[in-house]
Amino acid sequence: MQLSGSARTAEEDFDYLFKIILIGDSNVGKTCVVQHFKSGVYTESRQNTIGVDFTVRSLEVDGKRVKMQVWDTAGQERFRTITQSYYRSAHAAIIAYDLTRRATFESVPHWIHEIEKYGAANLVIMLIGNKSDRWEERHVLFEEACTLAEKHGLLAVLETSAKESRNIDEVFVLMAKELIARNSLHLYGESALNSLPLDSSPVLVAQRPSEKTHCTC
Amino acid sequence: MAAAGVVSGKIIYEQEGVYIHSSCGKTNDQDSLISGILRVLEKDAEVIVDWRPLDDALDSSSVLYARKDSSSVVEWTQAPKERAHRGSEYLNSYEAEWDMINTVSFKKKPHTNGDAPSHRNGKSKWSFLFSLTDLKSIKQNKEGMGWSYLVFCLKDDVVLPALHFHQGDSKLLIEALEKYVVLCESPQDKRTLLVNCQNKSLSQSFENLLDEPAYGLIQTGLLDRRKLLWAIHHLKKIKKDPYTATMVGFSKVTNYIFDSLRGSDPSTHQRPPSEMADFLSDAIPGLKINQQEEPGFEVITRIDLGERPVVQRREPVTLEEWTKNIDSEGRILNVDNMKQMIFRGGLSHALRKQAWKFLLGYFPWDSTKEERTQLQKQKKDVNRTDRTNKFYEGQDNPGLILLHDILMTYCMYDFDLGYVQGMSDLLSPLLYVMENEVDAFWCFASYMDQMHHNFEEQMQGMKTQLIQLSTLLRLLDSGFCSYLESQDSGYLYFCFRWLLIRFKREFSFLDILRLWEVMWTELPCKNFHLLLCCAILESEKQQIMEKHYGFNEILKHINELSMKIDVEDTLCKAEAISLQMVKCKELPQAVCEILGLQDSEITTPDSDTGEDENVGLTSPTSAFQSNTLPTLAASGARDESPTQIPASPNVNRLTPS
Repeated sequence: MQLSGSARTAEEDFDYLFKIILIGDSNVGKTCVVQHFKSGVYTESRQNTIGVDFTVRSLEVDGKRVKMQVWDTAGQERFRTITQSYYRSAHAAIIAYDLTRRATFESVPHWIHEIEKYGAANLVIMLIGNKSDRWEERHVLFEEACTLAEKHGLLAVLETSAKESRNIDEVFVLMAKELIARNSLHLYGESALNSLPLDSSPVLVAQRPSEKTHCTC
Repeated sequence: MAAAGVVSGKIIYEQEGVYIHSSCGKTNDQDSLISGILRVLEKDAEVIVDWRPLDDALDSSSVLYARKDSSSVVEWTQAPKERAHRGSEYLNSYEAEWDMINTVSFKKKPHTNGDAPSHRNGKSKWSFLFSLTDLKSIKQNKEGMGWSYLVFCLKDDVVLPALHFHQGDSKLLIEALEKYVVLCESPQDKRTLLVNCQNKSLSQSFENLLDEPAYGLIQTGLLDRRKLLWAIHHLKKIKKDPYTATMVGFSKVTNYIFDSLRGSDPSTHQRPPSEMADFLSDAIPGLKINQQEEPGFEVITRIDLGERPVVQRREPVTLEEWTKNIDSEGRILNVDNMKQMIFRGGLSHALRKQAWKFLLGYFPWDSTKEERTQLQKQKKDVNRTDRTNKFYEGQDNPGLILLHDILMTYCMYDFDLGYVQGMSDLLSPLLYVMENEVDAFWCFASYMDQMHHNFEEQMQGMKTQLIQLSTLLRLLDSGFCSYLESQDSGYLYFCFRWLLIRFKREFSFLDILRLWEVMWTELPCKNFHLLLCCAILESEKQQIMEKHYGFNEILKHINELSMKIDVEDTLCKAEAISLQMVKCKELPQAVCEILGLQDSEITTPDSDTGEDENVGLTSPTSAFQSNTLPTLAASGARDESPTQIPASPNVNRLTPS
């Protein structure tokens, strides 16, 4: 897969354009995460997503202007035929689960499988455990998520809270950095993307009460 | 035109500018292209296909008559492939393609009885004619490869030189031949049409159909036999229709061109469109039909829909107007007229609570007030028995609790379907208007009878609608369709939300009340909501094309139209489109069927062999017949036997009885 290159017009001035698909079970908070990313504020979930929604935000990462297109998808099983068709065009995927509902975590392997099946090869995948503000209701340990991420070679795990504005921007910045790094290598033609795990171990960012932890497994 | 006398017989079909590319065969003629006339003639109860070079048209003695039982002619026989001598110039796509087709080249056998004309040289020697009874198959060009051409293969496996239609189109020839023989696609090779193979091929298509994931709907029992026959009929039609294939091919070529343009700009290059298209059709098998099998658009580009009429809307129907139309026992009078009025102007809000129950089929239009009271009473009892009534005890927003309860009830009622996101969108306006749980539930159940197919496991209803929408849009604006295809958006996925929940999220709440009641009148034709889609898309076309929106931007743009669309304008435009289509005399069959502009009897393959021209000629009034179609059959049944409600009569309503 070819990652995006440089800007195309003055009007849309950016160095990189990345498309990220946001997937995961219903009601894990995908839309809230992306809305928070977009606007910086938490809005109580208004309604479920039908089909696919589309959000764009520009970031500046390491002096580069990065345009992040986030495709927010409907989580319900029945909508998968429609959401699947958006996988292939994505550079990266974020799988979200609700850390207070174990079932949503248990479907993560299924979502990974979906990506493998319908996405481009070497899609960068990140896992986020949302609703970390409700840590007392936690049903998924961060360590479990780390193990899973490692097993499947995901880029990172982060625990997030759209409600309390935790780790949301970090998710996208981290993703942007990784994509830029891969894209640069690709542009220099040093190696094929296939053989390109920048760092084979995932970045793991838990949302402990207030500070974040980077742990490298 | 050539003198008809030479080719005595009745000319059924005649086309100039049909070429043989002689250098492609064994013989290396200097004239690589030989222009000629192709004719189909009726002569002595025989049908003859005749091609002769243009400057040879008057020389009847040069005709080859390659009939098996005719000893007096030169025969074409198979010869080993000989093309090694060809230069690399043949590698351009068109010739290379031709090359592949013509895997059997030909040579002439010596004359057996010596009476072949000695002057047969140059171009003349290429002419041929044969009786249609000797035709075994016709091989056509691959989609979209330059002009069309075809190769006749006779029953003794003689392969005649390929005919290239530099003018006209092989489609017309095929149509002419189909007046005499049945042509159908070979199961082995889509590009080959076999002669008189109807039964065999029909059963074959049956099998293909059942194997085809696109037709999973048959296996899941969602399609009854009548529809199956209809589907096969269409499949057959399409196989007989190379022009369709060609059109599809063109769109692929467009894709290719766009791709190469985009390819120069790395920031915009996302993925090879062809790959994307393949992928899409893999992922959503139902949508394959859209591009490959959907009939009807083959001729659409040529159809002039005529001028679009100006449509005006009226004021909403008032309570007074409504009351005037009720007899002493409470029956609604002049139902058709009432529906017309509602279609034109909608309802004033005070009237909605009453009128929606009729529009949705909860109350029969001809019921008396007494009957309706009984009905409501029974339904209320049934509804209340199995659940605790939280109607008055909610601490949270009572409306939301109510909404939730009704949805829960519906899930029990239609257990197999389950809850699907989007259903609440359909319920909330009903609850808002009804202000009452029981009425809201039954109105919702009726509405779900119409919408059920959108929410089913495989979302077949959605796929079907997207295909239908694409068919309509192609008729209205094939240029826009091609543009969308060039942007990988030909599947119209960006309309998904519109269709799934009938525009609920595209208009303000009050506009939705208006829009829905208008749609529930089922006027002026079936699937009016698809024409609403067309109307909106038409308004956005300019921006989409001028700004050269791609796959992403199109989706984004359409999503962001939400709450910005004018409901009355859209209704006017959609109605005007419907009037335009109804008036059109050459409306494609597929479009007629989508809009219900014809006899509701579905034509079977047998009743319509080979004659596809005489379709769609329906009187304008037929557009208004659809309101008598029993689309709410399930709710009707329920009305007759309300006590059976818990048995959930509509769960199985889509399976064949």
